[in-house]
Amino acid sequence: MATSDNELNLSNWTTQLRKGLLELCIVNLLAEGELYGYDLVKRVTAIRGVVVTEGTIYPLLSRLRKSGLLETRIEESPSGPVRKYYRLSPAGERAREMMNRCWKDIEAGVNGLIERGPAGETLDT
Amino acid sequence: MKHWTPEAEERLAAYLDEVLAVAQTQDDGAEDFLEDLRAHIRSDAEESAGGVVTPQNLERALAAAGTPYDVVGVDTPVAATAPSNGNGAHGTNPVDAKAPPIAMNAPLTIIFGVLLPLVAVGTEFSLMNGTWGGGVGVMPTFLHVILLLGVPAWFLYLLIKSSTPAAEQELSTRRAVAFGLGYLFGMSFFYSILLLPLMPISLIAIIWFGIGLIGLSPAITLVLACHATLRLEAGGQYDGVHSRTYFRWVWAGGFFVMVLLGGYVGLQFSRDHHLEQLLRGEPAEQAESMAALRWLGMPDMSRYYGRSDGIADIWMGGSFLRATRAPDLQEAYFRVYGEVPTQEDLTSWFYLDNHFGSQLRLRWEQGGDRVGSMIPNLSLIQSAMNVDFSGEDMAAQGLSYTEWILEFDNNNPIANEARCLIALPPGGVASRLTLWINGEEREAAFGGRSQVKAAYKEVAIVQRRDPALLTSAGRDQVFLQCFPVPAFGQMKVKIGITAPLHGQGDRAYYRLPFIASENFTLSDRLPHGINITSPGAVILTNASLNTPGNESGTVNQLGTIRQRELFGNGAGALLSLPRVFDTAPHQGALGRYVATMQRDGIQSLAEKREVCLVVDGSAGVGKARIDWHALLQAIPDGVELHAVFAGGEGAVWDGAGGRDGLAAWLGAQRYEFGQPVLGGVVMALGEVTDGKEREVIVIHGPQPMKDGNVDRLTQALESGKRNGQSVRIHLVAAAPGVVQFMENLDAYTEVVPVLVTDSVEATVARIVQTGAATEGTPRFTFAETESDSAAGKHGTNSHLVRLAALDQVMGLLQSHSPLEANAASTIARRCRLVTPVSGAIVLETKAQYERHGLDDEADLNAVPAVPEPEEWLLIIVALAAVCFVVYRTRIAPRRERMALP
Repeated sequence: MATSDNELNLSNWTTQLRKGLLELCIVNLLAEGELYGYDLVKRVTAIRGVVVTEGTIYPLLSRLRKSGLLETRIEESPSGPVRKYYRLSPAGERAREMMNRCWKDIEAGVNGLIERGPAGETLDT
Repeated sequence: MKHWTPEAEERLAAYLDEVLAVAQTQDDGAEDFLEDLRAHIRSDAEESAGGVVTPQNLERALAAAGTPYDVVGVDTPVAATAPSNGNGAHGTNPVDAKAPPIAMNAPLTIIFGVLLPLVAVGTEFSLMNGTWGGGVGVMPTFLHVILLLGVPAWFLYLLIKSSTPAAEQELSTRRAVAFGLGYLFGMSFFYSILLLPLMPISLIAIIWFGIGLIGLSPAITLVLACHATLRLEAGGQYDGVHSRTYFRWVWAGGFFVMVLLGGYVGLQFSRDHHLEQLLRGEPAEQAESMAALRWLGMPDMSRYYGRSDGIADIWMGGSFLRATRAPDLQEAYFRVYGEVPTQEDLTSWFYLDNHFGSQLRLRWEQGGDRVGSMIPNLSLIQSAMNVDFSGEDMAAQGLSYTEWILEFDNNNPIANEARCLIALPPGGVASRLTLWINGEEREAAFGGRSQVKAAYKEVAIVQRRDPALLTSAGRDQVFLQCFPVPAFGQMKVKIGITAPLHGQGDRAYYRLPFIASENFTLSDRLPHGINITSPGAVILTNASLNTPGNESGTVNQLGTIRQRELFGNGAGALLSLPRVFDTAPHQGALGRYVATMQRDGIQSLAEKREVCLVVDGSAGVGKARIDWHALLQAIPDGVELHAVFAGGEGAVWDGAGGRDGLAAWLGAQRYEFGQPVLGGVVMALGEVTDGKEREVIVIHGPQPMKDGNVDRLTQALESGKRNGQSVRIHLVAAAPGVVQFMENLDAYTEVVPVLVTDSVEATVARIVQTGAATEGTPRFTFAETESDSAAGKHGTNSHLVRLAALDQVMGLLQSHSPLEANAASTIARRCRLVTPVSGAIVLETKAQYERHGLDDEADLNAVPAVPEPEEWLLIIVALAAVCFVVYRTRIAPRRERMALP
C-alpha cells in the first residue's frame, strides 16, 4: 500500500508540474506566430514530456484570453467550421518574456541542485 | 464537414453537457471554451473517421479530450472511475451500472401516482356530466384531459424505467425520464395552485370523514414528482455523464406543460372575456369583442351552454362564466362566424352516458320558451308525415293539410322535456295537436297563449303529468313542448298544419315543415316516412317515393325523406305538384264562422314605383353566389331602384352607374360573418319615401338571431301607416335555414316571407314585376254567423276557414288594441289555431282542463273523469283512517274484554 501511495503522489506531482508548465508552453508556441485552436492543442500535446489531455487546454486558453494575454480572431475555413486563431497580445509578449526568465532561473537553480547531489556529491563523481 | 450519426451527435452533446455541469460546480464559466472544445472534438473525430462519424470515432476523440473532470481541472470523483460498461460509451461510467436511473417506490407510485390521478380525472369527468367544462370543472377542454391523463401515464413510464438499470438505457430513454419528471412537476404544480382553495376542505374531510383524497391529488403527485426529481439528482451518473446534465430535460418537460397550459389559459381567458363583452357589453365593446373573437375563435360553448346561475367554474374562478341561454350563444356564434351553430357546436362533441349531473343542470330550461340545451339520451325515434292536397276539395282551392307524428324516447332515469321549434310552410298555421296518453289519442284544447302556458307550467313542471304544448314562435313558426317524456319511456305527439299552396306557372309548390332547432338527438338512420295524397304526381327532390298509385282521381305516394330535409340548418324540402287551383272563389265553414277565398290573378304593377333592395351582408348570402347582373337586368326600367347593404355599418348605394353600377357595387361588398339585417331594412324605408307604393325586397341568408333593430323597424312601419304610406317588405331567403328576426314582427302582415320556388334572381324579378313571388296569393273574407253550425250552407271546407281565420286574427292584431286582441284570441281558439294570441295544449284529466278554464274548448268527452292520483291517495288515506277509528272504538275494546280473566 505504501508503494501505491508513493506512486499516486508521484503521479499527482507530475500532473501538477505539467499543468504549471502548460501556460509557458502555450505562450512560447504562440510567440512563433498565430495558431488556430486545434493546431495549437495538437502542438502542445506533441511536446515531449508534456502529457496532457487535449480538452484541458481550452479552459486554459480561455483564462489567458480573459486575462488579456491572448487575442483571438475568427476566420472561415474552406474545409470545415470556422477557426479561432490565437495570438499573443503585447501584454502576453511581456508576460512570455517574464515567464521565460523565471523558468530559466528556476531551471538553473533546480539543475544546479540536482547536479550537486546529496551533501556536496556531484553527479560526475 | 462529414456526416455525423445521430447517436454520435447525442453523445457529443451529452459530453459537453457534462463539461458544462462540472464547470458550473467550480464557478467556472464554461461557455467561453465549450464551443472551442466542441469544434476541437468534432475536428478530431472527423479526422479519424471515414465518410461518417460514428460513436466509435467520437469516443477516440473524447478519450483524447479527457473526461469532463480533466477538462475542467478538478479531481475526478471516485464514482466516475469505474470501468466501462462495454456499451461503447466513454470510460467514465457509473459505479453501479445496475442502479436504476431513479429509485421509485412501486406501491406508492401506483397508488398515488397512477390510480389516484385516474380516479380524480374520472370523478371530475362524472361531475361535469361527461362534458368538458362546467360544474367544478378543472379541465375545461379535451386538451386538459389529455394533459391530466399524462400524469398517470408518465408515472407508469417512470416506474417501468426505474426497474431497468441505467447502464442499459438508451440516451433517449434517460432524456424521456427526465422530461417526464418535468412534466409531472409542471402539471402537479399547476393544479396544486389551482386547487389550493380546496385543499383545506380536503384535509378536513380526510380527518373527519376519511375521504377527500381526490382534492389533494395534485399536491400528492407534486410531492412524488419532487421526490423523484431529487432522486435523479442523487442518482449519480448515467453512463459517464452526471445525471444533473439531464436537468435541462426536466426543465424542458416543465416548460412544455407550462407553455401549453399557460397559452391555453391565456387564450381561454381572452375568449371568455370577449364573449362576455359581446353578450352583455356596450355597443362599442361588442364591436371590439366581435372583431377579437373572429380572430381568436369562440370559446368552447359547452362550458356556458345550459349552465345555471351560481355555479362557478373553478377553472376561471367563475369570473367570466355567467349563465347564458342557448339562443344568446347561438346568436353570438352566428355573429362571429356567420354560420348557424349546430347542437354539436354548442354542446361538447363528447357526451358520456351520464345520469347524474347533466339532468340536474338542464332542468332549469324545462317549461321555458326556448329550445335550450340538448339533452343526452333523449331522442326522436319515429317521424312520419301525412301530406294531403286532395281532401275536402283542397285540390281546387290549392290548400294542404299535413300531419306530422313525432315520437320521443327518453333513455334516462328521470323524466325530460322534449322541445323543438318547427318551421311551418309559408302562410301555414298549426291547427291540431294530439298526444297519445296510455295508448289513446287525446286532442288538444285551444286557449289564450298565456292561459295554455300557465296550464302547461303547472301541470307539466309542478305536477309532472302528461301535457303537450304548442305555441306560436313568430311568423310561420311554432314551439312544441312535451313533458314529461318518462324515464326510460316514450311520448308521441301529432301536429296538424294547414297551409296554402303557392302557384308558379302550371305547378303548385309547398315547402314541407321542418324542425329548425331541437333539444333531442336524431339518429342518422331514422327513417322519416312521408305519405302524400295529391291530385297529381308530386316531385320531391331528395326523397324516395314509390310509384304513384291512382285512387279515385288522386295520387298516393309513399316513401321516405332524408333527415336533412326535415331537420337543422338548410332544411326545407320543396314539393311541387300539378297546379289545379285557379282564381275562382271558394267558400268554407267551421262552427259559426264562414269564409271565402279567392286567389289573385297575375297582376301587372305600375312601373313608376320605388323598390329598395336590402342585401344581407352575412356569409350565407355570399355563399349563395347570386348573379347580381341577371337579377337587376330583370327589373323594369321604370322602377326607381335603391339599394342598401346590411353589413358592417351599413351602406347605401349612391345610384352611380345604373343597374350595372349597382351589380358591381353589390358584387364588391364583403359578405362575411353574421350581420343583423333589420337595420338595413330601416335604412331602406328611409330611402323609399317619395311614392305611395313602396316595395322593399330583403335578400337574406339564415338569421338565427333576434335583431336589436326590430323596435326601430316597427316604429318606422307604424309611422308609415300614420302617414298613409303603404309598404311591403318581401323576405327572400337566399339559402334555407332558420330566421329568428320575424319573431316580433308577427302582427305586421306587410312583412311577407317569400317562398323561393326556383332561383333568387327569378324570385326577385317576379316580385318587382307582379308584386308577389308566386302567383295566386289567396285573399280571404271572414265572417261570424248567428248559427253555431254554418257548415252545409257554406260548404264544409274547414281548412279554408282556418286560413281565413288566421288572416283575420293577424289583421285584428295589427291594430294593437286590447279589444281587438281579445276578439282575435276568441276566433283563434274557436277555429283551433296556434297564433300569437292562442296556443294548443293537451292535458291528462278533465279536472286539469277545468282548473285552467279550458273546459269549453277541449273535447271533454274524450278526457277521462277519473280522479287524479292525489285524489285516490286522499280517498285511501281517509278510508284507512276510518278503518283505524272503527278498530279502536269497537273491535279493540271487545278483544280486551274477551281477554280478561
